[in-house]
Amino acid sequence: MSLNLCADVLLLHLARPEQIASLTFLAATSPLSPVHDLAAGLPINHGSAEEVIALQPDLVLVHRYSNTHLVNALEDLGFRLWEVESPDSLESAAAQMEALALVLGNPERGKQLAGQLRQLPAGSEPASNTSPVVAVYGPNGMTTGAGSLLHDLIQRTGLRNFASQQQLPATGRIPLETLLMHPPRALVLSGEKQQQGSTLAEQTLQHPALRQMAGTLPTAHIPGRYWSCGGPEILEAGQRLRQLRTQLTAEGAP
Amino acid sequence: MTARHWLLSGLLFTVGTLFLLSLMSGRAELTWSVLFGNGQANAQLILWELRLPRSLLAVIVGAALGMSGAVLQGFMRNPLADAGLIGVSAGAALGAVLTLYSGLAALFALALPLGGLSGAALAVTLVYLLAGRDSSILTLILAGVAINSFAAALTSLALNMAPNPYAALEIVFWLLGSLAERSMEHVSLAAPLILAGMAMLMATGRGLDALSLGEDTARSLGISMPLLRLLVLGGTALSVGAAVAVTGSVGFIGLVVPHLLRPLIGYRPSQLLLPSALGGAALLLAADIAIRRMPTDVELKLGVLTALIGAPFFLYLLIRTRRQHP
Amino acid sequence: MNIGIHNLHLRLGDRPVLSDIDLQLDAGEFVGLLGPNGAGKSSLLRCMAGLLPPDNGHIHLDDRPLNALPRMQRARQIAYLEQDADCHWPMMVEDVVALGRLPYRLATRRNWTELDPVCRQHIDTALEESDLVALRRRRVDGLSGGERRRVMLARTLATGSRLLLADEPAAGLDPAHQLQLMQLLAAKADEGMTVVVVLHDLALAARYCRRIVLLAGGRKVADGSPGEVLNPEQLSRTYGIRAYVGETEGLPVILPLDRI
Repeated sequence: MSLNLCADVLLLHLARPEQIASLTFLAATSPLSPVHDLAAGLPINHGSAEEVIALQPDLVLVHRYSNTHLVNALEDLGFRLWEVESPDSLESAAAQMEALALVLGNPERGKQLAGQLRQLPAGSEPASNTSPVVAVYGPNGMTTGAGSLLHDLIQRTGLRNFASQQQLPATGRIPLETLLMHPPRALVLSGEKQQQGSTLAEQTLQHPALRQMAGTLPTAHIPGRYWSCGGPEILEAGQRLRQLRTQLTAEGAP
Repeated sequence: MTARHWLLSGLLFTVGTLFLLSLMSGRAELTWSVLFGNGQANAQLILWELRLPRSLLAVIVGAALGMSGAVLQGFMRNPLADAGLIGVSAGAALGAVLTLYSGLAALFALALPLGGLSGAALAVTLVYLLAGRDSSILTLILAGVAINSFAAALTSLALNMAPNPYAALEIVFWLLGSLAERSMEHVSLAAPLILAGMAMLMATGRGLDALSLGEDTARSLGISMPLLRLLVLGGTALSVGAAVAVTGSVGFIGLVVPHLLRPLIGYRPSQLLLPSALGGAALLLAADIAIRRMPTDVELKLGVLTALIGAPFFLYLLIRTRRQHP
Repeated sequence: MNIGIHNLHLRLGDRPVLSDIDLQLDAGEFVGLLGPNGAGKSSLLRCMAGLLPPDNGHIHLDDRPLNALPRMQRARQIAYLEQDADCHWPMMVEDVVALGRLPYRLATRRNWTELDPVCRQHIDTALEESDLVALRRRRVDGLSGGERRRVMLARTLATGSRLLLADEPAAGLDPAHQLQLMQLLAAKADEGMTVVVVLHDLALAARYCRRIVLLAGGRKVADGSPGEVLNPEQLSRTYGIRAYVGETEGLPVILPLDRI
């Protein structure tokens, strides 16, 4: 049973369907979920201790940032908990998958997916001081700096991350002005494409200044759901980054 | 030159100076020569697409808030009336939120300011009915508290029910306001409505002067109360509603500015309108410059700063006016 | 200006406030509107000022129906001094007085010194007549209660209307300024202005008003010269008091003695 969207993602990929007692309601409905298809039709919960008690699952997946009161209560009630983390590198994502697969009794499935992840940057040179700089820009100017999985992936693809150049933390914000003053070679837009403009945060992606800039730069769309949970969706993110890198090479970038 | 001319020229000069300073404030270091078309393309982009709309909005939104404060205070004959305090801004925010997150604003852009306008109109009418004429300061403030918290609750509800996961995080913007990353689209969306509202407010001068002698006397002096009411409530709804729809609700401008300027113009309500608009523009520009020049990693919300200045000022005013008219 | 009231009825909610009032006032009359508290004096005055529409009956101003008169014209012809009138903002005395010129639109000028000569003349005269010249640049919040009453009166005079309706203008004035006020109003009436004042001071009314209209319970109970109306019998009937009515140095004296 999972009480967190990221845990849902991993569970769906690593467990056999009959092992899954319940997922969060987000898995099948939230625009942030990358696993709509897999989650369809499975039983859901709303992340409360009551639901856990009612179901009496063998294992409860929580997230590092789950409500501590909830986690403590479940511990006191004697449930077996497993804490999912948001991985900070490709390696930690792979390791987490292997570990969870082992707990779930499907170690081969874990090894297989982890192996794919570890191979991901294959065919690319790691980034050097001359590599082109790419800026990740999401709703509200959210970006991701050193110590994040996407940053790791960017580096391995032979690109430098704008956010880490600016000494921004793993989760940070780029003011539009900074972006315009130090224009990167390429953009990675991490908003959900189909939803743009419906919130203020996403309106920042519609700002004329950004559109004007994006019009002149190679741009990849990699919504956060492809990389924020550390599931195998990273493969797709890696694919898109590699395309971007290829495009930049074709344009003569070092 | 009369004293009033000096005051107006001084305010105009302040607004102009702050406007230029605002164009020069931000994360990126720009040189003055950028103003004359020099510098790289991105510097031009920053100036014209980021800082110009931001500064323009500060001017018109500040002017709308300042003038509406002066008009509401004159109309209610209550020095504590202010669009933010009496819940008009909160109502506008609710209206804007409903149109924005329901997707209506995506269908036609004007829906956003119109939503703000309707919310503001509802709130200002409600306040007027609850505590409109010659009400005690206490009644007005309590009515404001009620409308404010109700509108804020509904706004929060609407944001939490919105299908988009980012929506719930944006309550801060609507409650505290911000000019960050606004574009010329926002300016062209809000400016016509704000200016129309301010034109209506400007027409209230005679009525407000007469009202300082009470409603009966004002009517005996040929003032039509229904017309005046329409101008005040409509003008406030238009200007504040459209302003809040693009910048969120920035508090206290309409409270502080008219109060500071009133002694300088001899207390006549009609004489306070234009100076309050200019003063509001200057104050909002100054506040917006200040938050950009503060060494914080994440820019403060505009309303944080105006509340830091405005709330103590409000308390001081409250204590003083309560002493004068218990 | 003459004003005619025919068969006027007014109710506020279920309560009849004025019933069956007939009154004809001619130009230059100085009328005291008297009666006990709650008799309907203020309501009648507000009806005459066009502020309160009667439920029944007509009010004519120079033979034109009052309610057909355009707002601005009415404001120029009728000056109304509210009971307990006051200014909500601490404005300068001459600025408050200048508000009386609002019906002429010119007073919207930012500074009263920029006003046209006629307008200025009216303001200056009003200030002089109300003995306020020395105070003209003072703020009203620094004045005594009596001084503020005079400012409010000067404001009504500045309008330059031909009908003045004043609700208890003498309340709160010291004896000297009460006399000055009544002399001023009498002089205005002599100039042709129709003056209607609500008064509680019987002696003052008897001495200055040329005509007394006595209201009780929303009805007109007496109408005539002070000598005809203000006699002991009438006073005991309407006010419920025993009063001494006499004269000293040729002037009327009315002294309430006790309640009946």
